[in-house]
Formats: sequence, C-alpha cells, structure tokens
Amino acid sequence: MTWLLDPFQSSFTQRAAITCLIIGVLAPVVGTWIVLRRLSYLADAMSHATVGGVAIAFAIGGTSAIVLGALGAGVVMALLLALLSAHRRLSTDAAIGVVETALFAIGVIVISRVETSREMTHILFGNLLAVTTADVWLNLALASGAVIVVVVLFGDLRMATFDPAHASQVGVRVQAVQVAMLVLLAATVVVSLRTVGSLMSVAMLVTPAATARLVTRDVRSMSLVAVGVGVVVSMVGFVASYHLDAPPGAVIALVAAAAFAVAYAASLPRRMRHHARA
Amino acid sequence: MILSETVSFDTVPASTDVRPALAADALGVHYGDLEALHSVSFSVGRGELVGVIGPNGAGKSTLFKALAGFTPHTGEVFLDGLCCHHRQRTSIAFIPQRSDIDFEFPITVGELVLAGRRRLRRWWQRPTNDDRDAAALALAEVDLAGAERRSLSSLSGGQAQRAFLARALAQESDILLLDEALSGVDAPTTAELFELFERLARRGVTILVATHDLAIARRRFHRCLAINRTLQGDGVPAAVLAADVLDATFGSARVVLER
Repeated sequence: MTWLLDPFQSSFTQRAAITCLIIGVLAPVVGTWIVLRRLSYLADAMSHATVGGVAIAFAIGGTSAIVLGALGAGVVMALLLALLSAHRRLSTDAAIGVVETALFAIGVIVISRVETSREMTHILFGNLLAVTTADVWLNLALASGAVIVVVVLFGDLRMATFDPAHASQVGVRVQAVQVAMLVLLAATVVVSLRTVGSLMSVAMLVTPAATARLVTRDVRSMSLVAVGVGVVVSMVGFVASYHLDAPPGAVIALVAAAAFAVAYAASLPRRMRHHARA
Repeated sequence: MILSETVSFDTVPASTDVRPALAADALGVHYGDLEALHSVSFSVGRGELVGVIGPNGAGKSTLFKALAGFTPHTGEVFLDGLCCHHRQRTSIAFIPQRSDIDFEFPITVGELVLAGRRRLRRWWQRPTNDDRDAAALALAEVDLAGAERRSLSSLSGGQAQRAFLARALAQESDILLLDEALSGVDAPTTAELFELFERLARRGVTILVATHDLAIARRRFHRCLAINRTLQGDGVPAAVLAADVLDATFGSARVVLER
C-alpha cells in the first residue's frame, strides 16, 4: 500500500493532489455541457488560445499575471467569436479555427522572444508540484463558484441545450446561458493551468463527460458519472505519474482515454442490440 | 401560375367564440434578402383542427415560427383578439419537425414535459409537486401515463409526438403548431394521433399541423391553409384541395391526390 500513499507524503504533493481533485470535479461538471452542446472543438480552441494571453501576460507582468492573461484571452476569444459568427458566410468552426490559431501564434512568437522560462513550459504542460497554497484556494473558489452556477442553472442549461427556441419561449434567457457557458469554460481552463496544463485541459473537460455519455440516459446521471470518472482518472493519473516520473497532465489524459475506451467497449453490446432492433 | 389573390371560402365552420383564438394580419418574414413569407392573413377559431399544406420551402415552418414568436416578422399576431408581442405568446406551443429534434439527447420524458412548466417559475426555482402533477396529467392525456422515466430516445415516432404534445399541454398552451408531425409516421400511428388531435380539439385546443400529405389533409382536417410564400387558399379541405389552388400552391410539382 505504501506505493499508493507515497505520492501524498509531502505538503507540496498534497497540494498537487487536492488540485487534481478540484479539476477532477470541475472539468467534468462543465465538460458535460461542453459535450452535450457539441463544443468540444471550442474547448480545445480555448485551451490553445489561452497560450497567447498567458504568454503576453507573463512577458509583461511575470508569473503573477498569468491567470489574468488566461482570462483575458478567454474574453477576447469569446468576443471575436461573437463578432465573426454574425457573418452569414462564416461557419462557427471556421471562426473558431481563425481565432484559435491567431491567438496561439501570438503566444508562440511572444514565447520565442522572451527569456526561455520553465514557467511557460509549465503553463503549457502543467506543473503540479509548483502549486502554492494560494493557488489551491484560488482554484477552490473558482471551482466552487462554477459548480454552484451549474447546479443553480441546471434546468435552464438542459432546456437551452436541448430546444433553445422552446426554452426562450418559456422564459429561459438563452443568450445569458450561452455567456455563462463561455465563462465556465474559461474558468475551467484557468484552473487547469497548473494541473494538466492548458493544452491538456481539454482532456479533462471532454473525455470524462464523453465517457459518461456512453453509459447514461439523462443529464443528471451523466454529470454525476462524469465527476466520478474525473475524480478517479485524476487520482490514478496523479499516482501513476509520480511513480512513472512522467508529466502528470499527459498521464491523466491517457488514463482518461483508457476509461473512455473501457466504457466504449462496454457499451458495444447494447449498441449492437439497438442496431439489430432498428 | 401563382394566384395573386388568396382564394377564400365561406364554408369554414363558424367558431362558437366570436373572437378567433389565433389570427395573423399581413405576416411577413425576411431572411436577409429572401422574402420567406409575404403578407399572410388568416384567423382560426377555438377548437379547430387545421392542416397547413404547401411544398418544401413554401414557408410552413417559417409561418409557425413567426406565429410562436421565434422569428422576427412584420405584421401582427392576435391571440383571443388581442395583439401580442412575441414574448407574450406562451399560449402557443410549437412542436418542431422530427429532423430538428436531437432524439439522442439524454433527457427523460418527465424532464421534457416539466420543461413546459418553466414559464410559471423564476430561473432559480425548482419544479414543485404541482408541476409534477401537471406533467403527469398531461402525459395521461396523451396516453403516455407513467412514461416519466423513459428516455426520449426509447420512444417511437408517434410516442415522441405525444410527448411533445404533453409538454405543450403542461405549458397550458391552447394553440398547438405541429411542424410535419406526420412525416415518417405509419398509418396506424397517424390514425392514433388524429384521434388525440380530435380529443384535444373538442376540449377547445386549436391545432395547426403542417403537412405535405394531401390525402390526409383531405380526410382529416376541419380546414386547410395552402401556403407558398403567401396564402394561396383558406377553407374547408375539399375547396382548398381543388385544382386551381393546388396549381397555385404546388405549381408543376402537383401531387396526385388519393381519390
């Protein structure tokens, strides 16, 4: 059993484990809606776009400005997408592709000009062991806020996602729900910076929720199963990365993919019976 | 050839209520430069079962979305004789066509029907026991009693239509707009749906159903509206399904009618 407890011995690994747990709960709660609203590509793009904001913020204000940079990039991306998507000849995925690559390119150029820093590498790929107590509290506050928003708006989120026209007719403020969704997504990417890194954050946003989608029939159970998967894969990934001496973000992403593969295989017989009936 | 004047017939059954349940006055819809609907005016009485016929792209769905307040439009919509802003049209329920519904969405029948009760609550309030009772009653009314825990994806085409009708009833809507409700539904299910429509109509619910199926339109509806960008005919089915109106509505794509 000591190999299981070894990673939790020191205070900095304990902070790392708590951070993993926070993202293990937050990302699937938000990710459930990302998957249901078919916004996985937006989540991926947001994680890349964050790099631009983080790089600029780091170049100007150092490590302390990184979170602001990530949030700024999220806001700029949301505004540019709203502007470009209004053009009738431009599909949303094309608009996302343009904005994502532009912001990512800015990040790459800024990183190449500023003094090479391990900190920037940590933003891209995560560095759990550098998590401070202040980071833990900030992440906990952001995650608690996001989870409360999702719980309070749960019914309206479901209605606005399933049938936005009807939702709007019966009083759901569909535009406000969409804005809330983007803010939640940005908050999740920010919380992910220290854990799995911005580039791997999409793995925790999408994979546990997609795994839960395969084995559940309603959004409530999908959210709960996604959180269960998120907590388990983040903890298993954390322990495995400690023993393998591998980057935690990548190991957690791989464990999540393995969980998805198991759920996919388990759902195959039911899908085959369904196809046979159809 | 498209008729420049709407063909109107005096044989429409008179409504018992003096004020029409639903009326449109010079309704028009533009999508950019495209005029999807031009100056459509008609009125429908309480408890009428009306077929809206027209070819693909004729503007049937657009008409329904404009009536329900989902699409910006010119002209006016009246409910019980009162001009209504689009936000005041919660008594109109629009049931989208099958292809516009994501049947794989993880939602149970109970959750779907409860969504109709949302207009009675604030955004932070949860459904009450009264809401759940109303949803159960609505499901019983469409012969889906006890189906609350079933997933939407497990329902057949006819059952899904019933579930959406239950959502409309739970919403306390007395005007139902069903877009292509009969597409992909077999004959026995169609018959069952019309039994339900008739039952609801007798209770005073006004029902408009968009359809391509002229044979069903002839046999089943109290009245028909023929639409192709504008209103081409309005009256009892036998009159609206006459050759001149069909020529105006369907042009060269005339459908051979079942005798």
